[in-house]
Amino acid sequence: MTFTRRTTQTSTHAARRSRSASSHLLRPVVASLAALTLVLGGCAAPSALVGSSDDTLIYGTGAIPRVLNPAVQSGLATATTGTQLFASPIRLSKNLEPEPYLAESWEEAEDGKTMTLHLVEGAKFHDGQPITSEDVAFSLNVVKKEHPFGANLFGPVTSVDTPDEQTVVINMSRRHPALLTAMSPPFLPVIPKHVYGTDDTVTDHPQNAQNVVGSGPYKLRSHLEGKRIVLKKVDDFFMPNEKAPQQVLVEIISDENTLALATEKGEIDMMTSNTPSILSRLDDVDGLTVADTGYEGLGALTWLGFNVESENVSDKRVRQAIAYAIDRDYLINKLHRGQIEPATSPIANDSPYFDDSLPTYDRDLDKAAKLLDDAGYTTDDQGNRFTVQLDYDPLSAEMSSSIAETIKANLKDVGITVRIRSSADEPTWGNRVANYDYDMTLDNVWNWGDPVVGVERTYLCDNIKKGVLWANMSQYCNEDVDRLFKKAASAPDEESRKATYAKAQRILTDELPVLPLENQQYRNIYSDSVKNAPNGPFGIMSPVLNTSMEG
Amino acid sequence: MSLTAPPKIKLKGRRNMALARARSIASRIAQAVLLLLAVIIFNFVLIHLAPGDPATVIAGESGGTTPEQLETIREAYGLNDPIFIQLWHYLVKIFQFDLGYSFYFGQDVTALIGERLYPTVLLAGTGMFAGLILGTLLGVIAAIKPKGLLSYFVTVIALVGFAAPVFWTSVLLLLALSITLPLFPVQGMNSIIVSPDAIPQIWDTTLHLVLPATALALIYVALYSRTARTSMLDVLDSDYIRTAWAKGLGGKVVIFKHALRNAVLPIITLFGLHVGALLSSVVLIEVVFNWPGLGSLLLESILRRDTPVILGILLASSVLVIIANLVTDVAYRIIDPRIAISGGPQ
Repeated sequence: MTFTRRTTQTSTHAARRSRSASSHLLRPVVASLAALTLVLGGCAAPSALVGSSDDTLIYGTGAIPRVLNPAVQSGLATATTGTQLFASPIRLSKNLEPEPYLAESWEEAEDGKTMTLHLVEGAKFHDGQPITSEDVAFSLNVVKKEHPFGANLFGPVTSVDTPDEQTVVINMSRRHPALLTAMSPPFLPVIPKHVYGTDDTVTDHPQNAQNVVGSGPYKLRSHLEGKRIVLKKVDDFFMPNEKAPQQVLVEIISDENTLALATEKGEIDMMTSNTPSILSRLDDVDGLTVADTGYEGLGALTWLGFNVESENVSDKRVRQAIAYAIDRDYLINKLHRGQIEPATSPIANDSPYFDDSLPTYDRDLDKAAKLLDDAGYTTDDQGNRFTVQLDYDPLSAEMSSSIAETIKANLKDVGITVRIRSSADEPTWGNRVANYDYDMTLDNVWNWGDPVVGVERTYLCDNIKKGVLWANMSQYCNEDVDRLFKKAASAPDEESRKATYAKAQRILTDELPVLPLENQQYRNIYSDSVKNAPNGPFGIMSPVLNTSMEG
Repeated sequence: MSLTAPPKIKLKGRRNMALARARSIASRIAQAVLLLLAVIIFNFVLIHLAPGDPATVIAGESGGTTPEQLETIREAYGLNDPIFIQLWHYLVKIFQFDLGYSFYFGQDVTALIGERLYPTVLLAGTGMFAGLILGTLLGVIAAIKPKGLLSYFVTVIALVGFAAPVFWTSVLLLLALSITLPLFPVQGMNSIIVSPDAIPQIWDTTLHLVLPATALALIYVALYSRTARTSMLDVLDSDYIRTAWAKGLGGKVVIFKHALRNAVLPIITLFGLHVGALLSSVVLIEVVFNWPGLGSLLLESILRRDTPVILGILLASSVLVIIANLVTDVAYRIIDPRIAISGGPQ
């Protein structure tokens, strides 16, 4: 009896303890879930956008814009949004031919020293103020002074006259064939003088990133730095834009693989990539299109830059030997799956000034060895000749590091030992190469539509500027090349311009201050709902007036 | 008289103990402040000793610049001042609770961190607690039958969790549960455009949270399951557990009330320590899942040498670590009263 009672008591007690233990265990779980529900309750994320997705183009990019005003900052990050926010005097066609935009017509004087623009009537800024010739003149002067390529874009411009509200007269010291390109969307945004012409310098103006007052087909609705930019269509734009999406969302996703997965899943409508593995993978996805044209204006090149003052690569025969030793066929067809074209010139293949008769430096190890012997770099007992250091830009580390490893293996075949030096971040690499603390570096450089803007800066003697990134970092100087670039920049006609650039290309591909390796293929990737994607010469860096969303 | 004496002694003893505790807390706070100061100075000097500066990045992303423009940028951000002057200016600002202005994002650093803190706390909190609870449970279950199948399973999970890099498990999770089986979204903390109603918003955030929190939790499941298993095996071998079994107590009571309570102490120590290392895992997960938190902001800032943001995040992280350590101390005292009596873990 006692035993039975005790057993009952014990079992009751144990059961209670057991329940108590279970509840002890469950309590933190339940509390955590409750806390999580409460926490989740407050939360559309800081970047969440409440509303409807109807007629919205969601563009994904990894490029984070520092400012949205292309008058003071170059590059893909700023121009993607900047060209939607600001209109320009000219637009470029698929064939890089000028088309009317804010300027409905233009005339060039016979001597090429004066360009007159006639502005369209009825164009307004986003605050309702009319766009006048004063604003165009102001914008041109700001770009000339503040833009990184200002001197290249508008160097010959001596003054801008505004005889009336719709007429702009640009006076120049010499003929300037690149002027119309320089007035196109990535380079010359028309900004309102009454906003940006205040006491603040335009570079530091607070309305470069927030509360932007633009002249383009979209106005800024919100900008969450580093995450998202929301643009809303301007209803009374001076050009037809009925079919254009009501909203454009620029969604920033820094990891390109995640961006590609989000596009594949349909979370993103459109993205741009130059990564061969992503282009080839997404090309096979149903419901997605990888454009086969676009971004020809960029002229994006990957090259091996030499510091010609560095001991082991100062002799052009050594640089030529390195060119012969590199296996481009492997780089193009194996490493990059045939998604990239080889580069043979400092001017990109898509440019009208590209010369296709240049040496291609196909792999020839015997020729490379002979050139090295002739240059005095004979082999030692182990077959080694010398050691050279190779840097690469960490912003494109995924592509560049694999190219660097290929070069290292290729040069080993001719007795050159390559020591690859990676940089922790962009400033570290920039500091090294801009201060000439390097032998060779892999670099990605854009031609920017015209050799005046993006090519000559790498070779002109007076652009050897220590500490300045993407100036003449090779320290290469050849008066003949200088003379040819200057002659081409003011050539009287296209034929003589092409001929002059061809001569410059021949010298440069012989002396090789840089060894062009690849023409990068930037391409838009978009879902079936995107019609007339912006596959023009500057791609998404041009207004999306003709693009529409369907379905 | 003799009857009233003991309470007075007890009271005096309690007062002394309270005083000692107050002194101990004050001393800990003073140590924390000094530690923070040292961290701030160390971080500042370390970052500024690295070659290059944000002006190079700003110029670099433009595709070039002129020496004059570079000089203007450096002047505007005070980068031409000697490092001691820059440090002094920074310390003065810190004491005014001003973390400075981001070179790159052009925004107040406090506001920038404030925007990104909440998503990180949500992700880190969910991932860590899920890992803690699941890992401990698995460890306990494995310890009950150390030679059982489940025990080996826990060992395998722990090895995989330790060995697999978090960015790799993250990408695998994405490919498996977002692309192949389209159960969860790929990126972000919310859908790009969300419903204005609260319930769909909560559901939307929960769906977005599952994969990154799982990726984070896997690390901690591995860690805590091994620790819990080892610790439980030690405790289950104790005399008092044998006594508990002998008394006829139920299995749940012995395991969860008697054994786990003692076995959990090393786990709590680890938990406190891991808060400090949390940011390194969170950085990778936030980048892969495009989670809009402090980790991805830190990476963007490091790549662009945005010094004020890097320093601000490191400061916030240091404060979190110090708080976590204090909380760990308190948790110790609650779980094991002997520690409270003896004055805390040494």
